[in-house]
Amino acid sequence: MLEPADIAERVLRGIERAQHLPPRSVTLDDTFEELGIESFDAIYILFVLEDEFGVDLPEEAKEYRTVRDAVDGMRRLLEANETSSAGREA
Amino acid sequence: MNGRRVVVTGLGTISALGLDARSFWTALIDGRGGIRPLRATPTEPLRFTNGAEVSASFSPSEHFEARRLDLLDRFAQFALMAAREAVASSGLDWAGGAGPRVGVVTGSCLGGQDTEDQGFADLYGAGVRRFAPHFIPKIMASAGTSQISMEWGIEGPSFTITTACASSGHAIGLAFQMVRSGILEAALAGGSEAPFSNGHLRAWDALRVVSPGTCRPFCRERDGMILGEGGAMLVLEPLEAARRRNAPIIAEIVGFGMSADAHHPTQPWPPGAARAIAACLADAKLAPDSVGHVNAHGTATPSNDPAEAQALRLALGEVADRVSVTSTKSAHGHLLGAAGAVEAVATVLSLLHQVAPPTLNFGTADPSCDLNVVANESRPARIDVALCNSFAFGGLNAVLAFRRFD
Repeated sequence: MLEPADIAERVLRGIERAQHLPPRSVTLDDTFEELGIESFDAIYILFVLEDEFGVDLPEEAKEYRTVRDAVDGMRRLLEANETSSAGREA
Repeated sequence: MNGRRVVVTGLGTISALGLDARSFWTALIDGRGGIRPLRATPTEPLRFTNGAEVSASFSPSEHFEARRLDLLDRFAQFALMAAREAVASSGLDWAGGAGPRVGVVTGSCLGGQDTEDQGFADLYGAGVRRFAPHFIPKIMASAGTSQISMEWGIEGPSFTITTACASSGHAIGLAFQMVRSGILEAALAGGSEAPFSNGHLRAWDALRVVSPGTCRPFCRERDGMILGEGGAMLVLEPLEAARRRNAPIIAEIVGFGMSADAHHPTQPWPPGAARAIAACLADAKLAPDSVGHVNAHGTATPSNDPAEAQALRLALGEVADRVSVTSTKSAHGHLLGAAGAVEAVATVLSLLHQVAPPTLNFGTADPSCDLNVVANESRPARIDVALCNSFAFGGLNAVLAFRRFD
């Protein structure tokens, strides 16, 4: 299971890649609006994060409006996947 | 056709002859062609190996920031490059937004086909799961027009024409009509094309009209066309407006004629093309003997060139014996949806500088193309009126007439 700090790091860097932003310029406190992320930019970021973590994001991911939303959402999803796969193995 | 006089106050072009109009014109009249072995894609197993590509020194990231580039197929990049040069050269100040009395009309056959080709290769070939959301706005054939309108706040009637090889001839003609009639106070008109994806070249190969050698219009040795890429744009304004702001006036656009052959998907039909030439002259209220030069469609296919010679003879009569004829496709290649525009740029520069550019690679004269071809070297000449022909696959014809402006 990834450490929360690792998850946050990869989400931040994923957003930078998707938006061609300078490295280490995106922070947890940024909103998508502040970063100039529009609707189909946001979809693209979700695709980048899905590819980065090898997961399918749920519908609620479309509601992310801040970097923190994305980090929290990704952590919840990875925890849930971990729990359900552990359940299946048991 | 009644209406205001319309002039060309700016132009821009990017092609195999250079990244701007000055390099384009210099290369053209020096007889330095841009047809070279293709770099964009491997040419095995194609029967041809040459094309007219924009120089590798063109680096999109120098001209467009990264996020915008996500939305710009190569064809749209060319549209913007040509438009930027045209607007800058016109001296028009659109910094506050050009507004609803300005429009942009572009021509393109293929739109973002390069992006589309790669996307389908990823999807069907590599099994990639999905496209980027930018894909649709990037591939649409109207992307050039939309991006240009966004760049300058152009809010008037704006659209893209697709009529195969006549697309940007029609685009310029329709923009001309809108300025002449007063619908627009200014227009950007032209076209762009980026055909060099592997898939698209394989399709052309199957049609067997691309030359395994080079582009040799109107001579016995002609054996097919050579594809080209790039963009070209004109700025059109009413003469009075141009004078009021002391604009540079490059030439006057005086006529536009159109017709359809109703004949064949790829073979030309001389009477159809002749009707477009005649319609253009009628629109300009000019007699055939006023024409001094023709920038021909001149693809160098075995069938186009004699058909065009016949069409000129039908429309111009014995004037066809003496009018100077050039196919600049021999230098910049066949730009498909942008052909009419890049050739219009060549035509107006011919009038501005009073020089007929050469038809390159001209070998032996062919009696079936019995025209006064400007062969291999440019020819300084007094030219008052020049025609610019576009005779497309599917029989759609567009002819523009330009006049020297003193």
